[in-house]
Amino acid sequence: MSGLDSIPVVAEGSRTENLKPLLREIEQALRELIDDAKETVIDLAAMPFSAQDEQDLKSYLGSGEVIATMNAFGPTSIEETGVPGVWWVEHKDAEGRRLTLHLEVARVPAIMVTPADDLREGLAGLQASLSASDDGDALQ
Amino acid sequence: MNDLTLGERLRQRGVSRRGFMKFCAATASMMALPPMMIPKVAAALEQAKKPSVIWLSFQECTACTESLTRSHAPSIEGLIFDHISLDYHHTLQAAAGHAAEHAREEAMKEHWGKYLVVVDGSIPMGANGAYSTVAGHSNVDTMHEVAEGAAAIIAVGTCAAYGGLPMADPNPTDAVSVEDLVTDKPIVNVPGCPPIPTVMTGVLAHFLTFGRLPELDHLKRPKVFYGQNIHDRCYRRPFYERGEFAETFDDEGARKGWCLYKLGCKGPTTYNACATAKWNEGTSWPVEAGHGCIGCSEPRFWDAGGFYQALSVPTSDVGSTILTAGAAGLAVGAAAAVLNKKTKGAAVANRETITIKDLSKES
Repeated sequence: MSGLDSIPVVAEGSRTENLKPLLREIEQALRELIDDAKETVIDLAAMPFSAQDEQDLKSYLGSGEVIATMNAFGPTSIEETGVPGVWWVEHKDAEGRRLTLHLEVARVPAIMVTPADDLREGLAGLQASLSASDDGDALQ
Repeated sequence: MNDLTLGERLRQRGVSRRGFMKFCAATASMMALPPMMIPKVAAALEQAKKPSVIWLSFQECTACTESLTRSHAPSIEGLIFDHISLDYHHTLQAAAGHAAEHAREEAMKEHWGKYLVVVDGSIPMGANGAYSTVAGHSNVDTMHEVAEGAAAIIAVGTCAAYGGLPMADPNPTDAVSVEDLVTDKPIVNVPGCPPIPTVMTGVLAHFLTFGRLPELDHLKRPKVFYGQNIHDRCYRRPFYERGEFAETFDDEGARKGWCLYKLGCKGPTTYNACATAKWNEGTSWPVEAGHGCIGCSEPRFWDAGGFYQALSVPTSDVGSTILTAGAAGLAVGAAAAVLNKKTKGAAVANRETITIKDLSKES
């Protein structure tokens, strides 16, 4: 037992009471996605939102079918919630510390879509590679 | 290398386009911009050039620099700082003495009219400025000299912004703030004792991104960070609404995390980003640690009564205004904010404590 354990303070998980308004915001965003194809991103760092709120929200929304990991400028986890079209997008730095936590209401989170310049560079790279293999019959 | 844009610099470091978008998302969040601004931030940061920054430390305790340099790295803050040319900062730079001063003079000459000046610390005017000198020059002379060629000045910390501790009664050095001294340059105040690192870098990021200073409030503070008071954004606010208060630092209310108003919390009259940005990599902030806000981002907070006395208001008609606002169903934060804006400075002398009942919504 450490010295800290002997301190008779019970830390209760605090709640900000912002959960319900946030759920209404998500409901509205989903409606706009269906009706107008309008996507919404909610930055959870921009409002008072405690760790307990976050846990409550995760429990409320549940888990969906898609989980993806992106490795660019540190890891990013992308998870669809149990409400289709509502995604958790959590960006972390190279040392695993959270940079942002977004709730994204979209068919596919924007960060998952391949950038147009990457597509062009990818195509050029593939063509160069195929051209080289044609010359050398490397694929035979 | 110095001519590279931020986008080019990041790509040179191997940051991919998705990585760049992630960087922009984090930067937008740091600047308290809505996520829908991320594409605009990306377009602007892609083209951002490296600005020259001259950092002047005057009558200060170095906590502002400590706060900034202890922002976690490698990080967004780190990348932002990598992208400014910090040409003079006598606490951090390797050069000393004449070489350091020469670096400042060269940077001023090369970037005349374009460089940013960051100031921490107040400026002593007493004894002809002799209370604080650097390289034989008084702070007041240096401030005037460097301000002349500046594009803008960022006063970080409450000392630079409003005089802070050195200006507290009896102000033995006759200290003044930057804006007391410089009246012909754009100034942004980033107060706090010290300011939150992400707020400091957020202001720099805004300048980098948009080439101008952010929108300011009446005290020249960026609205995105200082637009709401601590009380309105405090996670303990629901306890306030229910009338649940800690009466001492070790009672049941304190253990249960109830509102700290009665223990002197200055949240209702203090505008800062602590409640959302937090400290130590977002770990916690004073109220979460169990101590009321001391109002460190407000002018003359040292002289605003005891840190452990419940918030007081002047007994003037402004006091009755706040009570009327309470009766009308307005939150104390909003009422106190109006009070704060209208009576800053002059309000201190004539105070009486008002009660929770006076301020409650139901009264």
